[in-house]
Amino acid sequence: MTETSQSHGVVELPCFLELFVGKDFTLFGLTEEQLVPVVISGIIIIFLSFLSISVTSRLEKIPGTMQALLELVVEGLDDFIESQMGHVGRAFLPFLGSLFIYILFMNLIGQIPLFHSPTANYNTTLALTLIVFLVTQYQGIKTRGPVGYIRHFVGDPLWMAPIFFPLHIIQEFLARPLSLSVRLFGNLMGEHTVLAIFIGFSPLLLGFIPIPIQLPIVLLDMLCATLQAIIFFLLACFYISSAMGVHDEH
Amino acid sequence: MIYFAALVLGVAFVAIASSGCGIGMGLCVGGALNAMARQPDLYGKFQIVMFIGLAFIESLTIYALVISFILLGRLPTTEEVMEIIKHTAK
Repeated sequence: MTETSQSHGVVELPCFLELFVGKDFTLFGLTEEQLVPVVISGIIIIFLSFLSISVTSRLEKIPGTMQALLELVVEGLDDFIESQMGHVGRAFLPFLGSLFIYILFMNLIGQIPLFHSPTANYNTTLALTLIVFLVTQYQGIKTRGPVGYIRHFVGDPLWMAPIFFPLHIIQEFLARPLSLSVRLFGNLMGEHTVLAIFIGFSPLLLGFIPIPIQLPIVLLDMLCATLQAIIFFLLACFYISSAMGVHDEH
Repeated sequence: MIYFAALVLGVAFVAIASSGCGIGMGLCVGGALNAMARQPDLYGKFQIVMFIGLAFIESLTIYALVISFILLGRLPTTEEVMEIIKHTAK
């Protein structure tokens, strides 16, 4: 069931959207292949919103199962953010926590048959990286002031400015967003391609029963997906806290 | 034709990047094991930091993989190459 896409020569698995709409379906100028990440992202957002609204609307002092599970997740994220960013960073728990849960769900939903991970597309990861980038710039300027932010680029011993300033500029505007987006995208797309190739190689027992030899790759893929979500979340914490100056020595 | 041959060789040779990353990952895990052997009660902290370090080093190999995917998209299909060979062999 693997089909070769004409544009890239890499194998791809089918998606459930192909069962509903034809190959030449365009909506707002996007072809069916480009609509897949948007539709699956929408499904994940609606699912997460309904889950959290239905659990938080009936909070009780002695929690039930779902409430206890969500409390576990939220408390874990709160402790982690506080250990990374200090007391100033606790205000970022809604943003960074929902970013982490969103990316985790997007990475893991690719393992369900007939679903594609939206983060296996560079557009999604670039959008997430740009959001984190804009938040870091805004927080840096708001905490330090515009002059103080550029002064922070120069570094502590002022005579080392010709070395630190270009380095900081390149790091802040080029290396960090690029590496953050390409890391998430490359890991997921590489894993999905390896999975598709392994599914194509699976031998047929007695000629018609397929043997799932891609099982170890599925487990590795789930581990890699969780790890990459944690890494994205950790790096977002670190970039925001370093822009706000939480780690500087006075 | 030399252009396509060089492109195919480029797609294959970019995989040399994983050798340095393999050495780096070995050093990371070796350092983590060394630390765990010296202080067994801090096992959890060392494990977390080791996984974070491994993910960073792995991302360098992933950059090379993405470059090879980009180059792979510029290759012609086999039918087009056979057409070229047929035309130049005439």
